[in-house]
Formats: sequence, C-alpha cells, structure tokens
Amino acid sequence: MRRACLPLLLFALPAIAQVTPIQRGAYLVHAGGCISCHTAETDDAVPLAGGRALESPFGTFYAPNITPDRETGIGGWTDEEFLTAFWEGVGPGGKYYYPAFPYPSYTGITRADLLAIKAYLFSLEPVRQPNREHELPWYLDTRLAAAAWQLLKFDAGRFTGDPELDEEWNRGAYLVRHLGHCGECHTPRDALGGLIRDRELAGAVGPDGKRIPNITPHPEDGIGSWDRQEIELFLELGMLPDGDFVGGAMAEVIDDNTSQLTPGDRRAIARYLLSLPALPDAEPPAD
Amino acid sequence: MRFKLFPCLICLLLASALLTTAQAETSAKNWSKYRHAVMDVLKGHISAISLVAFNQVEDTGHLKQHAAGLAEAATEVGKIFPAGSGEGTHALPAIWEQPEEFAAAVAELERTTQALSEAIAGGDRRTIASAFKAAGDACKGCHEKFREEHDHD
Repeated sequence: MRRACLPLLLFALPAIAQVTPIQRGAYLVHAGGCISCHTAETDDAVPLAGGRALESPFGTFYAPNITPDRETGIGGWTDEEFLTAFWEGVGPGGKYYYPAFPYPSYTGITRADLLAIKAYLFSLEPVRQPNREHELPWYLDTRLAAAAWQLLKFDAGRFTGDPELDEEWNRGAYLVRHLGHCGECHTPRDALGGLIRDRELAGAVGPDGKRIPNITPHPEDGIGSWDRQEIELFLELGMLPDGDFVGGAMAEVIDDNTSQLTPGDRRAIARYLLSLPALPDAEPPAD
Repeated sequence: MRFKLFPCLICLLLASALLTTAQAETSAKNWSKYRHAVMDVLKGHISAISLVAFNQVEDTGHLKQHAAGLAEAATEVGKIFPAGSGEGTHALPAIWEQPEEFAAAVAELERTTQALSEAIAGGDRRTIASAFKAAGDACKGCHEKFREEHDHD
C-alpha cells in the first residue's frame, strides 16, 4: 500500500491569484532571480542595492542598485523605461546594456509581469548606494560595444508560446527561457558571448573554467535519468537524486529563486525540461 | 614471568607509537577518501528517507533506522576535516580559515538531523516535511560555503 502523498505545497508561497500586485511582483522577483545578482555577497548587504561582481571572459561587471533611490537606483524610471530595459536592453537615456544583464532572456517577459516587478521594487525602501563601474578592457569599455553586440546577437521579442502544447508546458517554457533565464548559465556561448540556441541548456563552461551541467534530458550527460518528482524536489530543496545537496552558485538559485516558486511552477519547469531534445555534452567533461 | 612481561610491554609501546605515527601521517588524499565514505553514508540515508517520505517507495519499516543513522553519521562530520587535509580536494580553505563558522554549520547539521530523526519517530507528516527541509538546508548551506562546486556525475 502506498502512503499518502506528502504535501510538497508546504514550502510554497500562496497561490499568486490570491495576492496583491506588489506580492505578485515579489514572487516574480524571486522567479526572475533578481536577488542573487543584485545583492552584494557581504553578510550585511542590503537586498537589491547592487554591488555583486559578475565575472565573465570579457571582464567583471558589477550589478547595479535596483532599489527606488532616485539618484543611485531606479527611482526615477518610468514604466516605459523599465519595459525598454528588459525588452530592448536599453536603459534611460539610450544607454545600451551589456548582456551581463540577461535581457536576451528577459525580452520575453510579459508587460503585466514586468510592471508587477516594478511595482514591487518601487515599494521597497530606497537605498542610496552608488553603482560601481564595470572593469572591462578598453575596447569593450564603451556602450558602443554593447550596441554593436546587440546588433549582432540580440533578437527582441515577447514569449508567444506554442499553441499546440498545453498551459503547463508553456508556463514551464516561459519560466525556463525567459523569467528564470536558466540558459544564461546552462547554454553554451559563442566567441562573442552569444547563446548558441541549438545547444539550449546542453551545459556550458563557467567563467571560472568549471563545467555548468547539461540539463537536457540526455540519459547520460543530462538529467534524462531523473523523473519529474526528482526535478521538482531538486528545485525545491537542492537535493540531487542520490541524496547529495547542491552547493555553489546553484544553491543560491535554489534559495532565492526556485524554492520560492509554487509547486505548480516547479512542476511546469520539470515538464518543460524533460520535453527538450536530449543533447549530449559537447565534449567529455574535464576531470 | 617478569622476563616475559617486559618484551610484551616493549611490543605494546612500539605498536602504540607506530599507530600514532600512522595516524599523524594520514594523507589529505586518504582523508578525502574517508570523507567521501562518510558523506556517502549521509547521502544514502537521506536518499532512502526521501524516497519513502516523498511517496516513491513503500516503507519497509526501516525509515526510523535511516533517520537515526543519519543523525548518528552527522555527528562525525565535525571530526573528519583535520588541519592540513584539504589539499587537492573539494574541501574549501574556508573550513580551516573560518573554524567558528564551520563548527556552527556542523552543529546545525547535527541539530537538524536529530530533529528529523525525532520527527520521523513522532510520525507527523507535516513535521517530517519541514524537518527534512531544514536538514536539507543545513547540507546545502554547508556545501555552499565550504565545498568547491563540482560535477555530480
């Protein structure tokens, strides 16, 4: 006799339909992984006030302050400016963003979700903390370089979904490809830093030279041997199927993002991941 | 009799000295192997608990033993990272550079696994679920700070 199912719902936020727009924005800020990057790593860091260093093969980027301080944060931004930053990768005053800000993924987020995120961010206490300049080689230390990159590598466009597939699959695709921007780490990049779309989520090499796992359903190289419940448990608790617990950057993603999602959203992510083409690793993992 | 006891005592002293020397010379590689063995014990118990608690396997009547075993194995974690045993392993230098923080993380593992064992003995499913999450958070929190990220293949 099988035991009654343990209520995995225990750890989740209330259903988003029952919450205010600001609470909905808070949920989306977690789902969008904003906190991990926009909060410094020190123990006394103020959430979302910026300062986190993001190392890349092209230099070190420092995430900006996104609290509503008018001078050092985003307190002066209009709705349209906020939308353009996410959809087009261009900030107020025509400032082209480097793709360290994952707008190539965020471009798919809906208007309603972005405005809910803005409502939440603007409900926070403004924190006066000036942004730190990025550390880049001279040839990239100009926004023209960012503009040129966009011309070559960026396609703007909202998520349209696949009408042939059901709501759960489409929700999973939206969370993985756009809001959760999983591919920004798990999809390999070409020499110019553009995501190689036909290798979506097939694993990559991080800026520290370490391998970021293949999360396509390939049976040996990816997560093809995991069942849906194992993926959902991993997203909720950080537990791998063998009982190990993940550390490093993914532990932070679990804490700030996926553990905060509703069970339905985690289920949708698992469904989408298992529906992807099973791609082998590009090369044998370095031991 | 006195003549026979004396060589025995000498032998015991020599054996004891050799054992002490052998312990002092345990290599970082062997410590790492031993740590992996201990961590495999923890992983095995956790995996067994999760398979039963999350409804994938019927309880064979050993869930309490797995929980007690996990809590018992957790008490060894603080003893398997002696100074100088980290070189060439996934153990991060922070273990020895921040000994108080590491000790606190280990204490949290001991506390939460003991609480999980008690919750499973008690049988309330909601308490078990939240205790399992707390124990998992202790594992994850320690790995996040003190273990180098590596492939889990």
